[in-house]
Amino acid sequence: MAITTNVEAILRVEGLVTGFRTGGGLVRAVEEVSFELHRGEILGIVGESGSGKSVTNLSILRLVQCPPGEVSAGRVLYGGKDLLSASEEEVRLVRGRNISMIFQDPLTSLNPVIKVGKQIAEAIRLHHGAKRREADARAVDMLRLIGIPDAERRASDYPHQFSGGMRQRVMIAMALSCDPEILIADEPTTALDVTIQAQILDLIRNLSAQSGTAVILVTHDLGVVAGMCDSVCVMYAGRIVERATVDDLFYDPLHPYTRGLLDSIPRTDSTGKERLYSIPGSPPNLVDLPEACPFQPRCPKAQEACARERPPEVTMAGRAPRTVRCWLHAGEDHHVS
Amino acid sequence: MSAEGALLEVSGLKVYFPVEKGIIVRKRVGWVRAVDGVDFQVSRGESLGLVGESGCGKSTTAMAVARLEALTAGKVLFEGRDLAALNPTELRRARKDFQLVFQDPWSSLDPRMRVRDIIAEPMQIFARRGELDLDGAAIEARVASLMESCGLSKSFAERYPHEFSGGQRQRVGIARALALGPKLIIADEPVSALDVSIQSQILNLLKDLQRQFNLTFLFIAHDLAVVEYFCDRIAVMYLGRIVEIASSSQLNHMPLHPYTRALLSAVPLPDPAKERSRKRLILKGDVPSPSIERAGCPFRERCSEAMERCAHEAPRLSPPAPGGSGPAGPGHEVSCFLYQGN
Amino acid sequence: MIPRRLAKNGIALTGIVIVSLYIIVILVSFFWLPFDPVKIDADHLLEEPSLKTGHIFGTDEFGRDILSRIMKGSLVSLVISLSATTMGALIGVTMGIWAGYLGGRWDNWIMRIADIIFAFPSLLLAIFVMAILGEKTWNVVIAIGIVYIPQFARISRGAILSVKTNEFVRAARSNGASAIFILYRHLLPNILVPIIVQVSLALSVSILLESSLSFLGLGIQPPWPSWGNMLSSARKVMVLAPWTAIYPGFAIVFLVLGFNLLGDGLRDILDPRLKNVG
Repeated sequence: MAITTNVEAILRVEGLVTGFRTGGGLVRAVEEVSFELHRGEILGIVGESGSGKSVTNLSILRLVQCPPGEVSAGRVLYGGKDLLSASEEEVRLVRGRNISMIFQDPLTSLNPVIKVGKQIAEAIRLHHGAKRREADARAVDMLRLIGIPDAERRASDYPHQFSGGMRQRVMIAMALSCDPEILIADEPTTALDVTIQAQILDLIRNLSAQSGTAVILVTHDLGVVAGMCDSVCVMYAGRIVERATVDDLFYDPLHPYTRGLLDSIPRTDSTGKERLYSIPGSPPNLVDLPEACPFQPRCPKAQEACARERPPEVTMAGRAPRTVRCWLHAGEDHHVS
Repeated sequence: MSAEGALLEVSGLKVYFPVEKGIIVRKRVGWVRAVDGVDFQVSRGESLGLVGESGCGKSTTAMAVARLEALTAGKVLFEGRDLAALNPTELRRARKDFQLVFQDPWSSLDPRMRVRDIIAEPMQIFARRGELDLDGAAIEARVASLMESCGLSKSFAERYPHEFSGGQRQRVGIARALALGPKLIIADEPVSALDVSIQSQILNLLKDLQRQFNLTFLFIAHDLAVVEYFCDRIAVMYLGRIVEIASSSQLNHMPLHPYTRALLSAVPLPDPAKERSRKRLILKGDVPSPSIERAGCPFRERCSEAMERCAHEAPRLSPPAPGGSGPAGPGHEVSCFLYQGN
Repeated sequence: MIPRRLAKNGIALTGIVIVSLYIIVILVSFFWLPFDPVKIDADHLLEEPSLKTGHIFGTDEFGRDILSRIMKGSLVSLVISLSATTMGALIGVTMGIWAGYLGGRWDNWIMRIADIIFAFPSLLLAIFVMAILGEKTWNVVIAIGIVYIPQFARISRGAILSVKTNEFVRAARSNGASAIFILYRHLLPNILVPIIVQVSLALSVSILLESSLSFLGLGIQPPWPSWGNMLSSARKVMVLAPWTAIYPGFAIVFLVLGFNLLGDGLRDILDPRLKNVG
């Protein structure tokens, strides 16, 4: 779907900062992260391990373990409220009912000793106060909706009787059972095989299109982003280094990291066997990051300024959410403040 | 492909694991057919990729070839010698020629050993038994040169594995695998635990080393794009059997087996326009359990083109019959009745 | 670094201080004791603790100085518990790591033997062994050592089972390394932490076991002092002269506490998850 700025965002994250205190020092896991999410949009957050993509989403729902974690700055605006300053009770009501989450490992996310249908029904009763019978029936409906064959019978099975892909479907059923406005999917298919991944992604895509649920899809796989998302945030070392619509990002990447990432994935649709590009070095240690662009040591286009100062987030002209954090584009800011 | 050129020739390979029940008296109640009749050859200097989803038997095949898993049946001819028939001493000596690179860079290095000792260990084991003519200083020198070949800085030699990132650890594992000067490297998912930007570093390193040391690769991965990039030929496995084998460009551009086609169409492409326009073949259901004894084609329940014949008879891996969809390249074999006359 | 973490860990440090105190007392007892610990002194029967007489912990029913007997007894108690724990650990760990590494039938047999030993309550088993072997000092070591075999076997087997799934074990096998090499070079160093912790906890229990055996008259034989037989002989006069029981009892409790604190502290310090920090 096309994104236009005049559609009101349903979720707006502004200047989010999350850190973890460890024995080695303060780990700056998320640093000045801002983005917005629109109704029915699928937003991808990509990055490598330790880039802060999961912590960002945990921070939104105030699920960061504290201590050692701490959300130290920023606002998360949802439904006219700032979730970061709202009371615990208010946030609890939002979780699950308005914003649901699914995680990478569907086995540990389900209670092994409770029947699958019961677990879904409990989620429904918790948030909607539905009667037991009603909730049970709705749970079976949900199982049917997510494509579980023989749903009535399967509802009384335990999680271990389901395969990995089926369990992830159950998680999705639980997450969607309360018609949330936003679904946060954190690496939902990483533990699954490709053919099962295709099934699950298809399911999420269709459900989002039908119900208008907005989705934040956290992943490390750019292929998944290309097939699923409307817009993308690329994270590196806790920052969003580039934010763009999916087409802009893949066909006209601005940040050298995005470009490097795109050039370093082997792809089945390539024609020749040209050597893959590889970004030299490894991601930085997030403890005591210097006052420089964190990507600068690995960047092929690093200049003098990059080692001296952190680049600002520059809003680019043209189609809506286009920002980049790079000195190469620092002069092209079209932001009207 | 001529048999003389083959460094490795596997035929009729079966690995079954017993399923046991009972606490005091254990009774065998069945078998898990992890690998159920696999044949392939790898020529010198070639890279053969084994792909498939979890539980298809690709890793077990690799471990059986490396003789780290007991064979139930079959032959593993390495330079014409059957590894399955060697006695323990002969096998131990033969191990010098085939080495492994592992998936998990966190568990494949002993956390209590220094990098230098990790890389030197294979040489020390062989030198101690008088099967390798290297003294301490020569081993030291070889460790240094291996570290350089694998892109590890000299200063890393005295450090412990936990001080390194996944990519660097994987380089240490690769240096260890090269220590004895092997001819064949069996790489079991060597990049699947790594981040995208590190993955291409390691793939390129393996390619450089292949050229430098004239290595032959048996490369196991679940990621078709990675295998496609790295390997000359690809064998696709499903439920313990090879369903299709072809050169990697052939397999990619003209997949024949319905499973290969589904697998390829499920691989996400990093290209939004192509993703929007492509037609996806979504497979129904899950892989059936490998412990059930089955007649007929292992893929038939999930296959959109299953025929009556598929339920009774198992197709054999063979070149497609002429007159099929387009010309199949040399060495292209598929195990499906769609491509077999009568 | 481990020494620095030890200094920062209050629990372990307290444990070390307590155990060191006992070692100092033992060292002193080699050269000097306030009185002869076995000489009967009919003039000073059951004297109250007092600084004036020099019997600061008092005397027992034979007029022997309690402090001297505790000092002398600490050597016996410590040596017996150390030897017994070492014996149990050596045999148990060997059984456990081979059972865990070989698996299958071997595992089954070795662990069933351990289970049989484990099935008896430890004190009962020790008494049983003493009854068979006879009341000699070294038999106390054997009796207590046997009690520990299954505990060490279980702990080391469990640890081996989890460590042996690491791919570095496969890597070593693919290099032609033998089972002994893999076990002692790769696996054992990686399971030392739980074993060390278990050793320090076992030490504390063996102090109690030794005392119990001596208390029951099966351990160290009078007139030679051990904390257990001191308590045993104090039974008859405890109401009259409570100090005869209080001080040996305190010596036992304090050392058991020391070993326990040390074990708990070591568990925290040696936790590999903390290895990268600090």
